[in-house]
Amino acid sequence: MSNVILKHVWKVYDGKVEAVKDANLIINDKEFAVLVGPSGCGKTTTLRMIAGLEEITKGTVEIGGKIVNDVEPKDRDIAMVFQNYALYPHMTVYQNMSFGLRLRKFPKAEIDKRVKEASRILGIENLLERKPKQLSGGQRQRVALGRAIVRDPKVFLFDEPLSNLDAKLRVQMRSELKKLHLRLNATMVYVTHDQVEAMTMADKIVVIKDGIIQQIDSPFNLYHYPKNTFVAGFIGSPSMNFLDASVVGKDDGLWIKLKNDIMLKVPKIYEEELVDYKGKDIVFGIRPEDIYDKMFAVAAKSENTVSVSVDILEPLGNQTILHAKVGEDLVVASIDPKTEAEVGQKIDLVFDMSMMRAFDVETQQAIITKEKLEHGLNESKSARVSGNNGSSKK
Amino acid sequence: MKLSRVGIYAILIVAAMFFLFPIYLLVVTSLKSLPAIYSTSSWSLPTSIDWSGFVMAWRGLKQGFINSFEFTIPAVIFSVFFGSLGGFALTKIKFRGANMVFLFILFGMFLPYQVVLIPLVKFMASVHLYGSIWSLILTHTAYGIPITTLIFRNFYSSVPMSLIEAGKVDGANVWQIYTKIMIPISIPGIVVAVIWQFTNIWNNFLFGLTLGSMPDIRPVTVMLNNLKGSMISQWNTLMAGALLTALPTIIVYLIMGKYFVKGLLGGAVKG
Amino acid sequence: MNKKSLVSIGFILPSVMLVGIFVYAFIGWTVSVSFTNWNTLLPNWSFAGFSNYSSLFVNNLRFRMDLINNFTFLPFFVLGSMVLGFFLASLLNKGVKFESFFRTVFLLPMAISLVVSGTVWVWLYDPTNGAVDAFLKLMRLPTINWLGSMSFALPAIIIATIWQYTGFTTSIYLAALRGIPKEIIEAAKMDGAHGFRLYWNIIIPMVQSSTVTAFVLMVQLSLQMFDIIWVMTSGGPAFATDMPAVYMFIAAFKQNFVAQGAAIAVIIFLLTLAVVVPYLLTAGKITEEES
Repeated sequence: MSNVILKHVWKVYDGKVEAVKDANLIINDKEFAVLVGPSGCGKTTTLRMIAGLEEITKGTVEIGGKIVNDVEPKDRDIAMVFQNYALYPHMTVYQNMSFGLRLRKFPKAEIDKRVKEASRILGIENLLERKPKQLSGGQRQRVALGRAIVRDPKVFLFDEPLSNLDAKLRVQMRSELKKLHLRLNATMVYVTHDQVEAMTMADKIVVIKDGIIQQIDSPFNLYHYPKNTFVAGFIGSPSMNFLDASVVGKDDGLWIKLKNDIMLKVPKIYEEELVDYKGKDIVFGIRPEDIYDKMFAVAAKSENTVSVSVDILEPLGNQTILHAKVGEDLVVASIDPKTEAEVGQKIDLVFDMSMMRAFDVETQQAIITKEKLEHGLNESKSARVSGNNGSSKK
Repeated sequence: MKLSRVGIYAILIVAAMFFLFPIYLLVVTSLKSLPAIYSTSSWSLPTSIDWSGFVMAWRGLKQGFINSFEFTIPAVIFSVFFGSLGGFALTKIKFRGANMVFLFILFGMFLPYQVVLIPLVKFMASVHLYGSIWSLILTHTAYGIPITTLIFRNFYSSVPMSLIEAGKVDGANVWQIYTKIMIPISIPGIVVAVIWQFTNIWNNFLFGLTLGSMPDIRPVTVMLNNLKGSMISQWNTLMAGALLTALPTIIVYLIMGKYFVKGLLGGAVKG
Repeated sequence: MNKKSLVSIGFILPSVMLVGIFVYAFIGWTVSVSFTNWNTLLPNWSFAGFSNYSSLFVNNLRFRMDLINNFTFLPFFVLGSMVLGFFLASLLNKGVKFESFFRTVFLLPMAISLVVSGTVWVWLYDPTNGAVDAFLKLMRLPTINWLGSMSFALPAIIIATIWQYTGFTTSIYLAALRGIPKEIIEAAKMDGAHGFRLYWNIIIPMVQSSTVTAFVLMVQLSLQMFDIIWVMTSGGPAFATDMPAVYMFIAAFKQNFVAQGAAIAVIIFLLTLAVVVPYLLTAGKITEEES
C-alpha cells in the first residue's frame, strides 16, 4: 500500500505566515492526484511537506500507513521531479539516473538493468552518455523522469514539471505522463497551476486557494459540481460567468432576475433549494459553453432567451468566443463558429438553464446539491439528444 | 566625450605603454651586465644577453622560493577548503543567523592587518609556532577565509536549491551532497579561489616580514627586499630577482587571467 | 537545537573559529594593549589610560606628519585610480579590438607583489641612471632626485600605487558598464542624451554601487599602505613618505614601543571602520533583501 494521507497539516513560516491551513487529504494507492491552484496558494508547500523538504508545523503526513513527519526525504521511498529538473550538471544522463541507486549501494547489474529499462520506456537510450547541457528541454524532462522511475518509489512527486516546456511539448508530455502512470501503476502527486493539466491527467484534483483546500474531486465532478465560486471559476476555460442576480417567485414558479430586469426561468428541479432564496440575492453562474447562439440552439424558448449586443468576437476556429453585454453585465459565451453574429449588432442567446449554478452571496458556496445538478445534467443531455434527433429527421 | 576611433586607440596604447613600461624595464635591465647598465641608456635593449644578474639573484632567493611554495600551497588548499565549506553552509543549509555569521566572517576582508600584527606574533610564540612554517600557513589560511567564503557564497547562491533537494530525495546525506554534487560543480569557483589566494599569499610581504625572521621560512618577497638592501645599485641582479619573484604569479595570471578577474570582482562587486 | 543547525555549524565552525581568533580576539588584544604601559621589551600590563593616544596627538611630530602624508596620499590615489579606471573602462567598453590584450596589460600590475613593483619603481626613479630622469633629460627638462626629495617622494609613490591598482578599478568599472542593459543606453540615446550628458545622467548613476565599492576598497588600501613605502623609501626622506602603518611597524617591532604601536594600529583600524562599517551594513541589507 502506498497511499498518502495528510491529517490536519499546517505550515506556518516564522510563526506568522500560514502557507497551508489544516490540510486533510487522502491520496489512494496508484492514484494520480493533482494539486492545483493559483501561485502562492500553498500547493507546492504541501508537496514539499510530503517530500520531506519542508518541515511540518502541525499535523501528520502518512505514506504507506506510516507517519513520516520525522523521516528524512531519502527514507520516505519517494522520488521527485522538479520544476527546473535539477539534473546534476556534472554527471552524464546515466550517472544522473543511477545516482540514487548508487547511494543506496544497489548491485551494478541491477542499476544497469533499471537504467536501461527506464531509458527504454522514455526513449532516451541514445542519450545516456550525454551531459544535461547537451540536451533539449524535453530531453532533460525525460531524464528527470527517468531518475525518478529507476528508484521504483512508492510515491512519485511532481512539482510543476511541465511549466518550463513550450506549449506543444507540454501537451505531448502531458499524455506521456498519463501513459506512464498507467504503465508504472504507482501513486503520483502532481502540482500545477494549470487547470488544463489538472483536468487532463488527474484521477483526483485537489483545488487549493490561500492555503485552504477548496474541493477534492474527480475532474468531471469538479467541472460539473463545483462547491464554491472559486472552484467554479478556476476550473474551465473560458471561466464560468458569474452574474449578480436575485430569485423572484411568480405564478409559474421561480425566476432568476438579472440586472435591467432580465428574467430567466429556473428549471423545476432546482426550485426546491432555491425557494429559500426567494426575494434574496444570489450569485448566478453559467458556463460559456452552456450559452448558445439561438440559430444553433435546441429547445430555445422565450423564457431562457436573451437579446444582447455583441462586444467582441474571438473566432478560435472550432468555436467562437463571444463577449456580450447582458443588461449591465458582461457575459462570455462559447458559440458555434458558424455564427452570423457581428460586433455591435444584436444577437439572441439561449441559456441552457438546466446547467445553471447558484451560489450564496455571503458564503460563496453552491446552493444546489450535486444530486439535483446530476438530474439537471441529464435533462440537458436528453434535450440535446432529442433536439439532434429532431433535426436529423428533417 | 565623443572620441574618434583613432583617438580611443591612441589613448589605450599610451595607457598600455604606461602599464607595460616598468615591466619592459624589469626585463631588459635583468638581462644586462652591470657595466652595461651604467654605460647605456636604461631604456635601451641589451646589446648582449647577460645572465649574471639571474645567477646572482637565484643564489640569494632560492631558499625564499622554496619557503614561499612551502607555505603558499598548503595555505591555499586550507583557505579554499574552509571557504567552500562555509559558503556551502551559508547558502545551502539554511540556518538561523546565517547572515550574521556571514557578516562576521566578511568583516575580515577589510581588516587592516596592523591591528592584528602584534598579537599575531605573540600568539605564534605562545603556541610555539613562531619560526615554524606552520605560523605562515595558519596565518594565511585564517586571513584568506573571508575572501574565499565570499567567493564560494556568491558562487553557490547561483546553484539552484532544487539540486540539493534532488540529492536529498536521491538519498544523499549532507556530506555526500557536498562532496558528490557541490564540489564537482564548483570547479570554476575553486579555480577562481585558488588563483586569487595563490596570488595574494605569494605576493604577501607584511606577514612574511613579521613572522619570517628565520631564513628557513622567510618568503621570497622578504628575501627580495633584503637583496635590495645588500646589493645596492646592482640593478641587473635586483631586476632579475624581482622578475623571478613575480614569475609564478605572472604565469598564473597570463594563463588564467579570466579567473583572476573573477576573483577580484567576486571580492569587490558583490561584497 | 535541531540536527540541521548542528550539521551546518560543523561546516562553518572552522572558519568561525579561525576568524574569531585571528580577527576578533586579536583586535581585542591590540585594543587592550594600547591602554597599557607596555613600551618596553618585556610585557607590562599596567593601565596607562589614553596616554599612548594622547602622546601621539599632542607632541609626536612624526605621527602628525604621518597623518598629513596619509591624507595627502589618499585623495590623489583614490581619485586617480578611480577616474583613470573609469576612463579606461569606458574606452574598453566601446567595442575595441584587442580589448582582452589591453585588459590583461592594465591588470597585470595587480598580479605582481608590491615588493617587486616597489623595487622596479625605485630603479625607474633612480637619480643616476633611472628611466624617468632619462626621459626628463631627453625632454631637456631638469632631472629630479625623486625618492630623495622631500617634495617629490610622495608624488612618486602615488604614481607607483596608481600604476599598481588602476587595473583593479578598471575591472570593477568594466564589469559594471557591461552590466548596464543595452536597452537603457539605447532608450537614453532616443531621448537625445549623447556624449557627456549620457555619461553624467545615465551611465555614472548606473554604476554608482561600483563607485561606492571601489571607493571603499581604495580608501581602505590607502589607510593601511605599507609594503610599497617600506620597499621604496622606508618612510624617508625625513619622514616625507612616512605613514601610520609604517610607524606602527617600527614602533611595535623595532623600538619595542608595543603599546604605542598598538595605539597607532587602533587608530588605523578606527579610520578603516568609519568607511567599511556603513558599507558592510548596506551591503548586508542588500543581501538580506535578496534572500
